[in-house]
Amino acid sequence: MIEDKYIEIINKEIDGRLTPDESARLKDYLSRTPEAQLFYNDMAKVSTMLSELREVDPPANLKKNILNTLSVNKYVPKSKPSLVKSIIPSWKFSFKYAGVFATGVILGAFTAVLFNRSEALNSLDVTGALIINKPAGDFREISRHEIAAQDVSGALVLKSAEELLLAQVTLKSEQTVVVKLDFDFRELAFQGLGGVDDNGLRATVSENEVQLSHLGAHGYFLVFKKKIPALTFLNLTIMTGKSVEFQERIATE
Amino acid sequence: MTEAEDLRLVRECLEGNIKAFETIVDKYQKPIFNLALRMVRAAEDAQDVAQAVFVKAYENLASFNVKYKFFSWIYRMAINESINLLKQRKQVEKINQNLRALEKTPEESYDASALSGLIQGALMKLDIDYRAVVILKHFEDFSYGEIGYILDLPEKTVKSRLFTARQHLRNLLIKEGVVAND
Repeated sequence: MIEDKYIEIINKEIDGRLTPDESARLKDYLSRTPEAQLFYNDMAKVSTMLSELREVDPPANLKKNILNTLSVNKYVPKSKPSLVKSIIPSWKFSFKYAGVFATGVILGAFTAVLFNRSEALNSLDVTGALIINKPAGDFREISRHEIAAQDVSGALVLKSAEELLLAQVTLKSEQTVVVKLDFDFRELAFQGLGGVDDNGLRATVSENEVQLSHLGAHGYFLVFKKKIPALTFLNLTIMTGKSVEFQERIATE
Repeated sequence: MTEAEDLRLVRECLEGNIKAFETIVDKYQKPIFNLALRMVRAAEDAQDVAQAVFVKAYENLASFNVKYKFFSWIYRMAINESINLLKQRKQVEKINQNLRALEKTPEESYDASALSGLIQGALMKLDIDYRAVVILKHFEDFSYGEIGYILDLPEKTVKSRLFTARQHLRNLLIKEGVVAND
């Protein structure tokens, strides 16, 4: 009968995790216990045979099939799960599901109307509850985005602490500029605005978007709370009038 | 290619760069296909699993948690996809009841020697939970912790499951005369 602790030690030996002391103890035990030596030999042989199984090349068409599937079904990474998918979680295109698809579209459109109604933007002067102090925390810089457009110049610096994101904005423009940051409300929540240097800003806030409009030179920061620990994105758009001066999708990690 | 490189590719994919995803497929198609092949045995099924894994990975990239390694995440999908396929086809029962270790299948053309076929046959006789830990440890050389993440198990359970799996495998191979217990 092999002692249980030596069965464990033999397995550790197979995995190459023995300390020199355990190794010496095992060697001594095996020399005294033929049954254990036999067990050890078998286990070592099993391990060797497993490691000798060859890796094989995947079929030549695997990559092509994968990429074709992505292309044919027009998959896009789900930074926001689509409305249809939220109704039909494992939907894949197939003619036999055309009826289900049509129902999904109708339901989706109906839900979208309701959704959009509940998402009306609230315009606010930048005062009161919207203004917050810079949060404490060990913020590290994630990325810096220089803005040198025709009518706007400046930068956005994104910083991250454990559960917070800080977007520091400095912008200068001769025209009224609109700075829009939109995001997935299931991933991020807007917490507030700080460092505002005067009252010439207006903010428009919804659960998945913050818009600021101002004229001249301004510096301020926006704070977001991370709702999930995964990689998320902020979409930055800067406009003057109807023309888009700058647009970038910014990763938050 | 490093973990940082993987993360960069993930970011680029999320920004809509399909070429970055192509690089991910290039890098991982062989290990994922082999993992699936060890799990489900039939090459055609392994190809289906690998294809489904990459499509799901692409669709769900935004939910990838950067705290983990990308390859652990995609291996986890491959294991789950393999298990789902086996369950769907009720192969677990079928294999346990009917598989003969020496029977030849067309898929054995992937394993050049009869010995490889025997080992793969013995693997297929293992309970699916045991098979997964053996594959991840012996073919992919993951640590107990990484296997724990992939299979969603505590490290201690991984260890004990691996030890038991090896003993089952030894007993199966003794029965086949591959390991001589005398």
